[in-house]
Amino acid sequence: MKKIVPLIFLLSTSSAMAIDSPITGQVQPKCSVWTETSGVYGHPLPYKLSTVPADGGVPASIRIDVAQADYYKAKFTHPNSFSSSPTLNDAVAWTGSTVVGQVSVSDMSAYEAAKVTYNNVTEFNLTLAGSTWFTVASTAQYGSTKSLPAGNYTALIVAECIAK
Amino acid sequence: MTDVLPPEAGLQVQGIFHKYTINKSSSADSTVSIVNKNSTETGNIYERHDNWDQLPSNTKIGFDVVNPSLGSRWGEGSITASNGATLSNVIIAYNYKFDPCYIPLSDPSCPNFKDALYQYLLDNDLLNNEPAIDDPYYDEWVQYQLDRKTEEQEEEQVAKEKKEEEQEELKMERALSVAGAAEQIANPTQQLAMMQQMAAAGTLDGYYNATIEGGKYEETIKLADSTIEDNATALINLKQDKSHRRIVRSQYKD
Repeated sequence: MKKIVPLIFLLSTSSAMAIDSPITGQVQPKCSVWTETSGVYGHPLPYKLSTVPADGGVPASIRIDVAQADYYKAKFTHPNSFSSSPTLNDAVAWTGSTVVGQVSVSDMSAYEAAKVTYNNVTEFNLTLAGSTWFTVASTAQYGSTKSLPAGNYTALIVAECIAK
Repeated sequence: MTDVLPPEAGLQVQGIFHKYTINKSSSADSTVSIVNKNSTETGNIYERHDNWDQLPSNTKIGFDVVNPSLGSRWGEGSITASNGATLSNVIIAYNYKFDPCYIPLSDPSCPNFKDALYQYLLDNDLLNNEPAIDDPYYDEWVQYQLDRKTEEQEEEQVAKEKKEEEQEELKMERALSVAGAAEQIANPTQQLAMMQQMAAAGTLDGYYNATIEGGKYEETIKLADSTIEDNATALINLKQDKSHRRIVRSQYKD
């Protein structure tokens, strides 16, 4: 009688080695936003706050430095509310604007004509490398012609450099 | 540019800042040119042309870095706008650097001042001749002479100290050589050799044959006779001593 004995081969696999090899990188900002002049509200009338120089105010000047041309757009949101103020019981009518101020490259002057404006937002296509100064103005009018309560008023401009 | 840049020798221009506002029609073409002539060669040492074709009026700010070049090479500068455009609020500023020791003689604190002063004195034959009092470097000359004198004195002092040290070393060497001889004298073999040498007749004869000159010393001091008085103080002391002795001895009487 023959007996068949099964032969079992145990295959021992050699233990596998694995390592995680990191690749590191650092992204330097190619677009930066700087406040060169903080805005100041003038108070020409009891119901009005304005950054217009004729109203005794100072418009904000914001500089955007672009190291790489045509990769970014600038987005400015002028205020439509106070971030801090005395209690207000009536509506405030907001207006504002953002325009190209000084430029470091003459062709940047064309940004103004090509800007896109919607709601309280103004966008500029930053097609050139260099520095551009943007002037942001803001006006707040309380009620129709109601006097603003005394106190400190602060409103915020949001300036962003967004990758396209 | 002599009225714009400081007169410091070796001054180098390394950058130009500009700011101007151009006033023009948006539909017009214009070019703003900022130029500096080269005062030593033909042509311009710096040129910038901003193209404002079909662009609205605006203010431009810029800074150009240039290869540093001597300020003396920077000639007359100008900024112009073509095609009837006008410029306002123009600022052109030159960024420069200069080495205050470019001419080392300009300041005694400059690193090569001494060498430069020496060369100046040498060139003007003033090294050993006193310059005129209105010479621009008269004070420095005086200081140089004082320094030179001080240096000479210091060198002399160093040489003197060195000589003394050498003499001291020589003394030590001699002393050591004597010490060596003493060791030899203490050596029994050497002693025996010495005794043999001394015992040799030839050596001793010299001593026996030596003649010492004699003589007579005459009395030169004469004392005159006189009476010597008794010392009263000494007698009193002796008397006191006798009393003291008697008192002490009385203690031991039976």
